[in-house]
Amino acid sequence: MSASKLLLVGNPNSGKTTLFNALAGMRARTGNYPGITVEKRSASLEHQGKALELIDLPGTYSLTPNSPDEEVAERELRNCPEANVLVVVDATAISRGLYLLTDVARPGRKITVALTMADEAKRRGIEISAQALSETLNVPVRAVDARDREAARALLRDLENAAEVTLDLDYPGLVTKLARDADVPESEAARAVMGAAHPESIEERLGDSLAKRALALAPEELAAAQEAVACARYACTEALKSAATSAPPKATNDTRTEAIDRVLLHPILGLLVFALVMGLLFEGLFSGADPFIELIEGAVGSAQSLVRTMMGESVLRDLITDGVIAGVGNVVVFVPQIAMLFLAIAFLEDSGYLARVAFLIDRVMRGIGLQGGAFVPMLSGFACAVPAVMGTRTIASEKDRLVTMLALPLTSCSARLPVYVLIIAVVFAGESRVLGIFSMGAVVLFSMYMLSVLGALGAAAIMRRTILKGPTPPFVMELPPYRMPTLGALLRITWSKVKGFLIDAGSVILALSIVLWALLTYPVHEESVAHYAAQREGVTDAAELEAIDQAQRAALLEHSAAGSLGKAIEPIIEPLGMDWRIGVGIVGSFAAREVLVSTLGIVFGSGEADEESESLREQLSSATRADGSQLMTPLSGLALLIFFVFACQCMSTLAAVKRETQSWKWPLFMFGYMTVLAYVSALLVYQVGGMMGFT
Amino acid sequence: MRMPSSAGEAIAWVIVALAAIYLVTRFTGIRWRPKVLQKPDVPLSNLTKKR
Ligand SMILES: Nc1nc2c(ncn2[C@@H]2O[C@H](COP(=O)(O)OP(=O)(O)OP(=O)(O)O)[C@@H](O)[C@H]2O)c(=O)[nH]1
Ligand SMILES: [Mg+2]
Repeated sequence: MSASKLLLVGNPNSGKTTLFNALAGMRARTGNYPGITVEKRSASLEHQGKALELIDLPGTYSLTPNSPDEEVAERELRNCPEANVLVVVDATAISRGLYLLTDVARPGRKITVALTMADEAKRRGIEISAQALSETLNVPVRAVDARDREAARALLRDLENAAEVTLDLDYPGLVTKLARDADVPESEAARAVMGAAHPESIEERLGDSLAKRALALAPEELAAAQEAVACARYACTEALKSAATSAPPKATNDTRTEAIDRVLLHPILGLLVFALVMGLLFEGLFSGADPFIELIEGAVGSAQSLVRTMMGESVLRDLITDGVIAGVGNVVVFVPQIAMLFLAIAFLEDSGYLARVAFLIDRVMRGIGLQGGAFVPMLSGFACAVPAVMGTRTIASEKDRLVTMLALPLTSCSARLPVYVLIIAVVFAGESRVLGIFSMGAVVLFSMYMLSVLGALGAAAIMRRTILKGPTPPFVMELPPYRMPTLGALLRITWSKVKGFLIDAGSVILALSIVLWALLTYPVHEESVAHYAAQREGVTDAAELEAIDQAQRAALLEHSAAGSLGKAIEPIIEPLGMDWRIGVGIVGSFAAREVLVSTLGIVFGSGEADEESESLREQLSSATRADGSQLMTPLSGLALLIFFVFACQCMSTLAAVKRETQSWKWPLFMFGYMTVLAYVSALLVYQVGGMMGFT
Repeated sequence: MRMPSSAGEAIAWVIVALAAIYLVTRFTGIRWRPKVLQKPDVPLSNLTKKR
């Protein structure tokens, strides 16, 4: 026998995923704004000796879907007529939750109800009697704090008593007639009437015969019936609500949230606060992680020295020190910074501030031709573009969604952070402070993020006016209340992301480093070996021998497979202020951006003398070009940074866009426009900057 | 192609080959960073498709 199913259905941001995590011990993503979950997720658990499949769904307000994520929830309910449904109702917004309940209820559907946010309702003085509601609905209703595991478990015990809800729904005559004619329950006919406003997928959703009848209705008749259905549901909802609240309703506004919003949503003050928050974040990111980075850099250096002293000179030793340790170690160095970024993003998401930023920015977005809601996935793109691309499912209009999807990979994801920090530390270290507070590095870092946002908005504006023209629907988003995130939850989220980064470093980056080392070592250029062997004849001076060794290493590197490749593309990137070594790094970074750091670690580390373990930062700042001039200057560094701001160097993002659009056309377009943008911008910066006398 | 000049170099070659094989398998079934499901559960133009 297959496992019985339990579907979690509820409004967005009502705590479904939090319950899912608590019940199944999962770590699915949660956050304090609507639209976090955009796909179905299941987990199996055992309940009273029987297998139970728990399914978390995207939030929805009704079963007439408006956007792809709501459609996922609707489809799952439709495909599982037998499944039990746990309707998750936010106790602080009970009307909306009960409205959905009136839509979910149908003959044969077994339901239980969870009233989440019970703790918050209590704080705000909202009194709801779960028992009274349960008696009216004739199904189990339980008030819980979804974050509390034990309380959540009690909901499973309620399943035994799951039943059909009894609702006092007074549908209009048209619905009754439709139900009789098509031989379906009234609830189904009501849904057909509501769904006729979105005729696109109605046949699939409701079956041909009912759909045909609903679509055959005259427009005026249909509009009147739709209003009547909505009214019937509202009336039912209100009756349920007053049955559940005994005391006459008093003002239960969230005064705390309102007070905070007066400042944070203020048109001017709000933007100032936002700028300040970002400024502090980047200062923290840039300066705060420095001590940790030095610690890890030291450890990487010691590891290299240790291996060098332990093993005799051999190819294997070089593989370990110059390949594995230089490649992986130099990426791992950035873990503290990545962790801080994730922690900050988790805090912004969980506190409810992120949704405010989308609200503040709505006016700007409107000018671009996108709705403010499109900014939410863009903001989550600061962590990683892959979930952000999926997050666009909350956007109703297809064109808006496509534009957002194509533009958001320009926002600086966490994989760019190591690249930014490395380059900035090399070329902008030691400059004076700006305004006495912010270090120059933090300001440049902040500018790169700003540039990425401007780039994304600009690209969206252009696409909206050229290839993807169309009207912009108004932006409606519920602003969640402010919630103080728990430290445990923040650390859990951060750790799971850092773990992902470390797993990458230990697998893909490790393997790439090894292969790259081989490409930089082979084929061995025998002519150079012979040439330098001849030079060594008769030389006894240690310093002189060392110089010859150094020259030989450089020559071998240049003639290796990767070196030849770098040399071949050098003419293309030379106008951007880069040389073949950076070229090798750029080629590698098209697999994933942070690979640049490991590649540079290997390229510059292999050219070094064995005994000294300089950090990659030191190696880069002392590197010179063929003509002896310094390689990494503020200008060439800036050009490289800008290239990384705009370039599309992430296979996973391209795969995600392919999946969401079901074609190769859009990912290829995205790759093309971003690469051109990156190249041209870097070229302009380096060339124009050079003409203006900057170095 | 020349032969490895020492046992150490032979081991290094084996390691490099393993790493390369790992990368190829990993990339052909692209599953990097967040897991990207191969089967779509919402095609883009299902909902808003014009008839
Ligand atoms: N105080 C309190 N906070 C809760 C409770 N349940 C959830 N939260 C918080 O509310 C926010 C939303 O929770 P989620 O579980 O992501 O909500 P969801 O219903 O899955 O939302 P979508 O996936 O967007 O539909 C998170 O910040 C949770 O920490 C609760 O019972 N009490
Ligand atoms: Mg969720």
